[in-house]
Amino acid sequence: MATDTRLLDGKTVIVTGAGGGVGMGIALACAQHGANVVIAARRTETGDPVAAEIERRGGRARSIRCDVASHADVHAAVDAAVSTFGALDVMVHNALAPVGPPTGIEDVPDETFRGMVGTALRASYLCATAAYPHLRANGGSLILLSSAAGIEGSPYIPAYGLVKAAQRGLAKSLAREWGPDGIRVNCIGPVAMTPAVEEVAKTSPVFTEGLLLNRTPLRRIGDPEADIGPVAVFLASDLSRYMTGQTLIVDGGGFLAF
Amino acid sequence: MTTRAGRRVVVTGDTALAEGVAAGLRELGALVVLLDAAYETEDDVRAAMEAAGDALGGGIDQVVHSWVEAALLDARVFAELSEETWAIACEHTLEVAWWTARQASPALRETQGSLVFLVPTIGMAGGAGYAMLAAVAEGMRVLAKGCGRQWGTTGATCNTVAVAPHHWTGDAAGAELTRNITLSVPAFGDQGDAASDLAPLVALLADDDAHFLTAATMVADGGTWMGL
Repeated sequence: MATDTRLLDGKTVIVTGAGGGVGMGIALACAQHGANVVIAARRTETGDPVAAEIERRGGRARSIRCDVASHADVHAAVDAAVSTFGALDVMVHNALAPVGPPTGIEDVPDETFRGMVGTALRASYLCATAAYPHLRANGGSLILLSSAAGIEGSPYIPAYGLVKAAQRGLAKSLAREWGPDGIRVNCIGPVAMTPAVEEVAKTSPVFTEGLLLNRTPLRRIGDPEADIGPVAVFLASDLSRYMTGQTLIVDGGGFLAF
Repeated sequence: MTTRAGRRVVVTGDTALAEGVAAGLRELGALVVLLDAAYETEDDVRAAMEAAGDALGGGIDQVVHSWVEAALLDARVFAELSEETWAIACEHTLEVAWWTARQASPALRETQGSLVFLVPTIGMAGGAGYAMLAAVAEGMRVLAKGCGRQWGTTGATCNTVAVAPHHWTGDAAGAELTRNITLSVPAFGDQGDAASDLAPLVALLADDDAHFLTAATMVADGGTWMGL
């Protein structure tokens, strides 16, 4: 995706879970707009190629292995951003553990619940607190990847709705608390075709029976880089300088609330 | 759904809010048990819920969940929060809400009963100094929606009553949080008493008249937050 406008020139962005899917899309889009990007992925086998692609396209990137539920790893990712690029301006927390198959709340395995709490909630705390001093110094931005399920609940994966909602409550509060520090905090609720979604799409009636597409006015599932990435760029850029505490649902119009 | 006289209700939590709602429900004719649980494991909650059901004569018509870790009730600078505090206060409180929904489910499905989460409105509005409480509130509110969706065919309902934050934070902090929520004073001039103002709404959610209401949020803060 070529662009003549570089909205993030000189800024440094960390994206967690950027080894694929929405995270990769956001990382590529931020780089396209001039950002230095730190690819924080659970496995360097997935993160390294994304950093390499950014550099192939003429951008600047660094890949670092990062378990987002680990205090040491998250702080190392922040340190890497600062040591490599001199600053940190935007923290994008996107990574999430597998949500598991659709199931009743009573039957969700403990491991699945704890995985989501760890990668959504613990990680949000870690990413926010590790990034805070740098975001404060630079008038930066924290972006949490949430979901429409965090607003309307999920009939299929109830723990997912719980953690995505908790992230929104956190984001609104941090927006209020950190606003005087010049830090903005917002959420994105994306719907995009990722490898994880492709796997679900093989059997879920939401896809096989066209339920999702039928309720999506734009009649397609989003692309991580072309559709979700630009929204993250907008939230990371000065274009959204007067916007904080908000959730942007980027799903082709599938979820229309309030 | 049941009539109010003799309705069998379990209330979780040990704050003035929980005790006030319990007292109000008793005034309305309900048999009310405050859940006696250690809240350290899901088995604690399961055993306590079974014991509560036995104490109520063998069934539960409504569970009102208001329990939170005490560490959530104080204002804290988020950037100075320790990871341990975050885990104990925020994550564990959500974990207990999750356990409560799972362990209340069998009894409520049997009676086509009602699960109600009591949360502060700052979950929807945000609260500086109370980020953990807001995250918990919003997580519980949307957990309620997931339960409502999943339990619908059984006749059991799951709803949220969102109330003014002072019920958790105390009057001074609550007033400050409210000032940041709205530029106007509450429509009713105050933000509600647990026994006389909130308990009737909780009772309503288990009435037959509310049998078609699930996954909903009723904001009962005297007309303060009006974001819906």
